[in-house]
Amino acid sequence: MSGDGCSLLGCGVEDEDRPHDMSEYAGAAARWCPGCGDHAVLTSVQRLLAEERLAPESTVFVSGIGCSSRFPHYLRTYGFHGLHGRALPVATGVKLERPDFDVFVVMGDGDCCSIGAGHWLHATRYNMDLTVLLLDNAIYGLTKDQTSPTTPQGFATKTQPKGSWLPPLNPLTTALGVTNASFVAQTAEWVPAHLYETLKAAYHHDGFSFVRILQRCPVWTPTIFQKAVKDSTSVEVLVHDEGVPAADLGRAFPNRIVHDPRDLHAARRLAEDTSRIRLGLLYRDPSAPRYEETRALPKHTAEERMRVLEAELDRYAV
Amino acid sequence: MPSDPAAVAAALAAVAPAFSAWRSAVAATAEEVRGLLARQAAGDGAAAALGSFAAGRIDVGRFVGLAVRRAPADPAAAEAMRRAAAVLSALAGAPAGEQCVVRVAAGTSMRDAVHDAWRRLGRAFGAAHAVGLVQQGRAATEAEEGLVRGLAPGLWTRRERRVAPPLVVDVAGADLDVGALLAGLDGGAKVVLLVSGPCAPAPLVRLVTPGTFVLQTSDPAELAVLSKVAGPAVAALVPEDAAAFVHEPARGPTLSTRLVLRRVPKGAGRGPVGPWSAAQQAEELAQLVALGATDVPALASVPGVPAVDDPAGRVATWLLGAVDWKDLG
Amino acid sequence: MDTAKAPVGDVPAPAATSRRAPRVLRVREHTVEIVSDSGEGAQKCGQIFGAVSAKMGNGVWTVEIIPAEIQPPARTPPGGSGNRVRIGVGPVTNGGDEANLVVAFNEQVLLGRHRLHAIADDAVILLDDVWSRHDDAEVRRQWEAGLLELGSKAYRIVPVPLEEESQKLVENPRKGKNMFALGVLCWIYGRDLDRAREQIAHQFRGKKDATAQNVALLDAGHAWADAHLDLRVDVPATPTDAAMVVTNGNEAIGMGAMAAGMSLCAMYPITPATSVSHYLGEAFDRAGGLLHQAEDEIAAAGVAIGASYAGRTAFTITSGPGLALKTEFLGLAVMTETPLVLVDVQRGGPSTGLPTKVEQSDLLAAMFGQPGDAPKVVLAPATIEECFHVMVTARRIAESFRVPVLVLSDANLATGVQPWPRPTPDAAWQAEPPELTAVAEGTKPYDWDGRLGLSRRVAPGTPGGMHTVTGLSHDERSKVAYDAETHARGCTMRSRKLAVLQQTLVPPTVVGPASGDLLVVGWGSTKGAIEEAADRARAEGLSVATLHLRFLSPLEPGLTEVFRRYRRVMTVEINYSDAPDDPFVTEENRRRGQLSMLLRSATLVDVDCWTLVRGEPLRPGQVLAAMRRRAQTGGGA
Repeated sequence: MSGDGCSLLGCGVEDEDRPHDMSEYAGAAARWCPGCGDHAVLTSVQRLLAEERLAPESTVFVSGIGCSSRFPHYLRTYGFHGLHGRALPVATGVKLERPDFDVFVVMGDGDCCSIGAGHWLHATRYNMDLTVLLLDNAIYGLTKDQTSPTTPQGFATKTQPKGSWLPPLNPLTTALGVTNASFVAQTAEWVPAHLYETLKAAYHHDGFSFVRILQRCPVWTPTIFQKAVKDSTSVEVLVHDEGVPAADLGRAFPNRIVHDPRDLHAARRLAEDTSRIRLGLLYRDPSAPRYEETRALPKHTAEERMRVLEAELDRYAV
Repeated sequence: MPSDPAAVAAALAAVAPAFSAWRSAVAATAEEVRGLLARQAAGDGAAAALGSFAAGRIDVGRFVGLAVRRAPADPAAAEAMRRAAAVLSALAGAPAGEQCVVRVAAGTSMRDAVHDAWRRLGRAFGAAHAVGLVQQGRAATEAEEGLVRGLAPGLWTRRERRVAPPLVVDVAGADLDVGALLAGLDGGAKVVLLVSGPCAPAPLVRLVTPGTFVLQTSDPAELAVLSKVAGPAVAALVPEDAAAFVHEPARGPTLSTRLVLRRVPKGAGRGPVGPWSAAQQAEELAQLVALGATDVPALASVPGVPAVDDPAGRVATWLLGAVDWKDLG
Repeated sequence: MDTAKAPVGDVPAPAATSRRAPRVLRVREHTVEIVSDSGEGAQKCGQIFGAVSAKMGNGVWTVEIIPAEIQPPARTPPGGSGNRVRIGVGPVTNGGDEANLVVAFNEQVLLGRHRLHAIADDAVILLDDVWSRHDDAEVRRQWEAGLLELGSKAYRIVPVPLEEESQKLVENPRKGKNMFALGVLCWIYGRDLDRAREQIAHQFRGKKDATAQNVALLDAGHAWADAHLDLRVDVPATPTDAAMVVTNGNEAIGMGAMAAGMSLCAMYPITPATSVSHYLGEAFDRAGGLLHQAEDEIAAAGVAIGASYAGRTAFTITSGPGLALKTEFLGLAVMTETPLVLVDVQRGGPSTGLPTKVEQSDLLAAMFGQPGDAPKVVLAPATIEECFHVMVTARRIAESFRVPVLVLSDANLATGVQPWPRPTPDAAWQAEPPELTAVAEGTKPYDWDGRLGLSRRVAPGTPGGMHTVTGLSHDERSKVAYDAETHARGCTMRSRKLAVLQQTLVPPTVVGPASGDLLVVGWGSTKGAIEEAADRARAEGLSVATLHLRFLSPLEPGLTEVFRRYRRVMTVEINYSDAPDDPFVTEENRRRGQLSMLLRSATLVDVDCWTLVRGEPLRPGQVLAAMRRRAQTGGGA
């Protein structure tokens, strides 16, 4: 039961009593470069917060370090802009302490897939109810043009000027390979309708909802998805009753493939094949056990804790 | 005639998760209010709060003077907070068996008993409201005091209803009044009715709505399913001669997928039970069969059913035909 | 043998073979060691012996003897495993010097202790001589060589057929000897057998057969000793009505965290801190607490900080290598002013170092380990009892000052077992969760009182207070700002909090003369050994005083004034320092003990140091020797 052990103070105020529109969730003016995909994600997120009428005081955005990690500053919710690669442990702590909060995690590709990769695997396995956005522009942008784990092979950067030496890490197969993965989706910054629907599905999933958002960095990687942006037929949209709604995309994205997100093996096959970009929900398992439920403990009053302590002291008494 | 202890135990086990959620919320609130009180009293208990390691090492007076933020002291506010804290602590401390079991004395109003229990448990929400009022500077008002005395379920907010306390109601079939439950059957509310003695055959049918889990059974073991239901849920443990069915909102979008009839009694409506006339009992049973229209087990073997195309209609006709109208005088 | 161990009764000459009425040695204190191959259970024997002694009213200190490897080969000097138990008439504050009585399951593990100079020259040694009759000629050869080596001391070696007698009751020759030995010890020290049986039942609770068998072994050992031994030792016990508990330091920390109302511990297994989590794993959830085993040390810090940020202060426990990994997160907690309690159970370093053995080498890392200026609070409990109480104070300071508090324990406290006064938990210790009442829109998350550097924490859940905390330099509104004024002000405010805390501290108490030749300053687990050594030094007529610090950051007030009253000031620590007469070492390049470096910079007094890094708790005799040398040489402050 979510909300276990959370205080009733403030519960007397109905959510419905308050007006919620997007502007209410806007924090400081976003200072990303013009044309940065982060703007589109921010807009979608603000729309989601407004439509879901989330209480700003019980919504927390946790981020790491990088361009995308400025995200919380541009929202009028609570935010924790922490360490490079370490957003997930902080979010885990927040959610363990306050399971009633809506907790979002925003990471970049360096954050999630490189320095914080260990946390990523384990957070997937914990499967706490977090909405996790990987803003993947395949580059270290804030520090100006270093190769990231998702930089395409051969793509030249300042640290690997002859082109990235290694084939890029595939965040989707990685996520789908982790035990207890419960929600893995991919969307793209340049398809706002799909982006919004994906975020909404992720928010409504009870568990670790991992959304990889393909993005261009207008400064360092403006061309990486050029083909997909210009020619929407090179993109394949995953459709299914259980998936991300994509009816509105019909005309713009004619290539569709029916994929049942309950089928993990099919999801892995689709994720493995990087010959084309696929948008949609690859996998969802709402029955995967969630750590905050597995480990949920009823809150005790101070008096009860004192009784337990006395009993403990009795055990060790002479 | 009170239900047997095993049935009460099974019912309490079925509502244990709901009780735990409710109790946790109350305990956390009690803690928070105690914290607010401690802040008001900061200074008095500061030496103790710093612990024995600080004894002789920290000058408590200086520590408090420099580092402890104090809320402005208002005796009336503190008194009101203490009242709220006492209510919350008491509610957090009592076991489910004491708080949530309502025994309806024979011939008395189940509505009164149930509403009293809810009002009494609702004091937790009332106390939380009261603390809010105090913090807005509205201590010791009529409203604040009333809240701590009791808060009816009709006044609970949506968020409070999510952690509503469960009830186990021990009631004679003749005193059963399912309408009494409507006020609180919402959010995460769980109610188990332990019905003894003569009972209408399908008393819970009126509660079947799309989002409400409804179980009518004669098997105490079946109550356990309640512990897995997220939304509002009501279950009745009824005598063997009543109907058995379950309505599970999670099973699908249409009524026929959600409602499963397990037993439809033959001898329905032999005579009035409590406020139910025989015809009303038959009506309810007919309604039940109609709701679960398709796939009614053992229908074909019912003798004397006239040939009506619609199976629900068939059963209804038969049921109405079986009523002994003479008793209605 | 020093005065403290001088017999108070008469000691007739030992009878060799024919045993008449046993002689009773009455002493104020006695140190016994039980050593075996790893897995033979000497530790359990020592633990039960210590617990029974404590229950009978003796002062007790128990030290684990831990082999360096997990599965050390049998019958090797470094592979010995067991316990040292020091019992006394009054309170015992440390593991003492050399053992007066040893029970050894074979001559090789005994040699290990012999070579470490852990055994007194006149000690009585009960040694299983089954090895002298072993089928393998190599074993017999080792036995002879071993006894030859042991012959260099005047030990009185008494053969005891541990294995042969135990095998009458159990089949596995490696099992059972420990409880037989316990029976022997109970006879020698006049321990109450019923209490020993109770304690065995407690150790093997839930296992009826094991309990019965071990009690049979205990009784057999007792009967055998009664029939064959001629020496008894009487350390008079003073039964007390005062309620006591017997724990090690890590259990005390776990209970202390519960007493402090903390409800989340995030950790990653690391020796010697892990046993805190073993304790909490059993007890914490009964009190509504959550023990989270994170994927690594970094995540453990991150989860604790995330939880603290969202509500009640959480804690994390670690040891040296883990402290290194948590460095970046500690800096973040300082920067975001998030309360946090971090317990570092110190072990030998650097790097993986001596995982199971004691050192006090993390003090400077704890204080200065973070890049950038990262002021935080550092506390050091000096006793097992303080391990319990420090947690309450640590949490309160962390929340009142919005600052991480590091608690430095060490392997000596972690594994030492001692009876201590049962605390009377106070509901006020439980401390309230953060205030979540609505604040006015625009409330600053760092609304620093310009004089104090303190501000109200606005935790998530507080209506109206929405903001984003950041590890970047920020202003009072938590807005990222790189300008000179803002950064300098943030640094000042975070630092000011320590000055304010220091101003609430009471000057420390000196034990011994208020002025004189030598003041010895210590911190952490060495208190017992230092104070015992100073007692002995004063008994010898030396003018020695001691001062033990609990607050290391900020330092306790008034130190300069205290130091100036003594001719010499010296720290005693278990960390590395160059000896002044080491080759190439000069007064200028000498690397000093960590506390001594701190004190020199804070007081401008020429604070000397005497340190050891042998992986062992300090022995009072060693400290006494250092005191004699320093008190008698000239020079000084």
